[in-house]
Amino acid sequence: MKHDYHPDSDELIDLVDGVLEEERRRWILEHLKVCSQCSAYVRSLEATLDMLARDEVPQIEPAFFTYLATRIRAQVQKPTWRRVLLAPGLAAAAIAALLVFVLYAPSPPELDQLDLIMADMTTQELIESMGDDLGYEVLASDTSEELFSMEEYFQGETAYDLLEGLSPLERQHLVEEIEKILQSETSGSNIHWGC
Amino acid sequence: MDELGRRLAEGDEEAFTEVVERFSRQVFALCYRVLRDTEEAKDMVQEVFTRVYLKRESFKGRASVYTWIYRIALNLCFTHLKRRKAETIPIEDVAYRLAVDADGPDSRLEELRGIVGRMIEALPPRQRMVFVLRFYEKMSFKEIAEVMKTSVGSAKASYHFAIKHLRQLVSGGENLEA
Ligand SMILES: [Zn+2]
Repeated sequence: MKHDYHPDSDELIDLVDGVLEEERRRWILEHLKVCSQCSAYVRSLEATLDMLARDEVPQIEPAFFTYLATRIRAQVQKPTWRRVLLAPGLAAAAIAALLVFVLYAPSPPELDQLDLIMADMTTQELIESMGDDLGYEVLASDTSEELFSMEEYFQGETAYDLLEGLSPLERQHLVEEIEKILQSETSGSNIHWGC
Repeated sequence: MDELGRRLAEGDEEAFTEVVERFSRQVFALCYRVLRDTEEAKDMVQEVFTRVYLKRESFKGRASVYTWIYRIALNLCFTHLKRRKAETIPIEDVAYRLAVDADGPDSRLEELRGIVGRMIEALPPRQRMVFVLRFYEKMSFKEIAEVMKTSVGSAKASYHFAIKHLRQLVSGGENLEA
């Protein structure tokens, strides 16, 4: 076997990439034993690729994935929500749907997209009984004016079902999420969450 | 057509949710690898699955659901890359930072991510796509050629260019041409 010429850099890349034919691979490995130039090149390739391989995709908040389908439907189906009277037991899920919709809307939602009220309780009452802090959290409002305008807006409106587009699994996620918030922030609250 | 694909194509809402739950993380990883920006990658994932949702009834089941979604993601990422203004990074800059930061414990993970990001961003769109598909997504050149609508030979050539380019960034430009 002769070593009087060097494999080209493409072949050395193929070697590192593991796509060389076996015979050629063996020839090149033999060559590397006696050629410092080629072996230095291979080492630098390996060092480069090792470093690139250590790079990891960043972790992002799991909620992004959990509510992705919901957000997409909310975005796509906005105009088609049908008016449905909610059973009292669905109140938490409905609020959760509102929360998610507001939090994950691609742009700040228009107020007319937010006309959600419980069949057995107005959102106004709901917000009042939750207290301002939780009201902020649930409605994702940043200022008292914003919260106030939402409350005002909600007053006297009727119920729309934001849950229509949700699968049972998503509903369950939403309800769990909202219940976590409620448990941590409303001990002693008089709200009964029927879910 | 597999069961999930059939239900998706029929407009079954549950099936869409299932598809999102099953594949969105992988799609995010792909988008991040290509775009190197978390927020952009998230927007892209949303865009991909919005397309899936809107187009689901046109899914014919010739490929698996995942392959179908994967192609949508690749096409959107590639188009996005080509539209983005190309930035060039001085080689010495990256090489210097690499010399300082290349090996370190986990606390340097962010730093490494930044460096790798700069290296990959230095690649032109096609090289970048092919590199990500081959190196991170472990696709064969045949598969890459199919999704990139090119030949096996040209996919391989793009990969070689990318590797040489990246190696040069790390070793600061010293060269071997046999
Ligand atoms: Zn040699």
